[in-house]
Amino acid sequence: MKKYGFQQSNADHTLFLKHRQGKITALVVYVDDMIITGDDSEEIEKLQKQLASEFEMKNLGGLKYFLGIEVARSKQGIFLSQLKYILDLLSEVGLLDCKPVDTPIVQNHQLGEYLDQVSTDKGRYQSLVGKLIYLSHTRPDIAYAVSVVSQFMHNPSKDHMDAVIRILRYLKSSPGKGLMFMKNNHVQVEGYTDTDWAGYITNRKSTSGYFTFVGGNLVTWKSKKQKVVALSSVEAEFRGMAKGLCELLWLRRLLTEIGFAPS
Amino acid sequence: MKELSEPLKKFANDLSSHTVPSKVEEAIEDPRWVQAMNEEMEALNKNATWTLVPLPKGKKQVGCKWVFSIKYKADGSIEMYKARLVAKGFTQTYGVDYQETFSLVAKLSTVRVLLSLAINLDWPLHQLDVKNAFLHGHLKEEIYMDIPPGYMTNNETKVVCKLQRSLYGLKQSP
Repeated sequence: MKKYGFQQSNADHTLFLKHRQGKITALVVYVDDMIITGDDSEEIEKLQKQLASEFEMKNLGGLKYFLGIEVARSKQGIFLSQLKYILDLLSEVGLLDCKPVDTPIVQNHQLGEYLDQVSTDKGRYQSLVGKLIYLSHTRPDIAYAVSVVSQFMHNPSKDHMDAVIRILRYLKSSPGKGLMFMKNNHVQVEGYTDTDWAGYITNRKSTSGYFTFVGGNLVTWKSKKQKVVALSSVEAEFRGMAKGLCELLWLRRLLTEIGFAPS
Repeated sequence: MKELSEPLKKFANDLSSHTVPSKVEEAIEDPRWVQAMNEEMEALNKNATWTLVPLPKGKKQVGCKWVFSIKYKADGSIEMYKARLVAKGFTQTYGVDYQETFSLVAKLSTVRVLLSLAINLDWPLHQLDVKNAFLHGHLKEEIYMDIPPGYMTNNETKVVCKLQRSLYGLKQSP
C-alpha cells in the first residue's frame, strides 16, 4: 500500500489512509476482505485498479456482507445485523422454538462461583459463550450479559449455563436487532460511562461500562469487570470513567488521522 | 438405494449432499468435492505456492490435510463446495520454523467509525475481496510439507513440497 502513497494508521494498523488535495481515501484490510471509502473518487477508482492488477480481486461493489455481518443500505442509513448468525446459532443449539424472553439477564442475578455448584458441559459452555462474544459486533444490548457469563469460562455451573440459555432466548425475541448508522450531518465524538459498585458477590469487584458515538452513531461500547477491588463507589466510578476516556482518546486519534480532529 | 421410493431417494440424496466429508477418502467419492479440490490445487499451482524437491537430510516436513466445507447463501441454498488445503502448523517449532507471527485483523470499531463518517459525509463504500489471500505472502523460512493427500505420485524417492508462499494452518498465516 505504501507504494501507492498510503500511510498506515497508528490508531489502527489495519487502516491505510491517503490525503490528496484536501481529499481523503481510507482502506481497511481484514485478512482478505477490504473496505474502501472516502471523498476522493478519482483515487478510489485508481486504487481499485491498482489492487486488481496486483491480486486476483473480486469487486463486491457496495458493502453487503462483511465478516459475517450483514450490511444493508437504505435512504435512512446503514444497518448492520447478524441475523443469519443468530438464527444459525439458535438452530445449532436446538432453541429455534424456545420461548423468547424480554431481557438478556435477570436483575440482581447473584451469579458467581460456589463450592457446591452443579457442573455443566464445559466445552459446550465455552463454545456458546465464544459465539455470543462474536455477536458483540452488532449487539450492544447483550454486552453486559455476555461479559457476565464469560467470567465463568474456566468453571461453568448449571446456573451459568442457564444464564447463557437466557441470552439465547433473548436473542430469539429479537434476532434482527442491530446497529443503525444515520446521517446526522456532523462528525462529533461523544461518550458515556457508568459503573456499579461491588456487583460481584464473590469478590466485590465492580463492573463498568462505556459507550461512544461518532457523528451521532454508536461506534464502540464495553462492559467489563474491573481488575481492582474499588473501596468506594466513587473509586469504582472514576476507574470506569478512565476506561471510557481511554476509548475517547483513541477515537480522537483515529479521527485526527483521518482528518476530522474533534474540536 | 434401490428399495427407496423416488421422493425418499431425493430426500436421501439431499441429506448426503449436505454432509461434509472429514476424510479425503470420502471426498474423492463425490465429483463435487473432487472438483473443489482440483480448484484449490489449481489456485495453489497458479500462485507457485511450492516446488517439489526431495527432502533434504536433517529437515522435517509438516503434514497437511484437506478441510471441506459447504458455503451457504443467506437463504440457506448452497453457494459452493469448498476444499482447502491446510498445513498442520502445530508441528512447527518456534525459532526453527517460525519467528514471530503477525496478521492484520481490523478492529471492527474502526469499521464502524468509517461507516458513521461515510453516512454523515455521503462517502461511497466499496468492498473488495482478495482471492486466496495467504497465498500472496512470501515465506522467509524454509518449510517442507507432505504432498497433499489424493495427489501423491508413485515415485520411489521421497519428494516433498518446498513452500514458497504461506498456507492456511502455518504459524505464518493469520
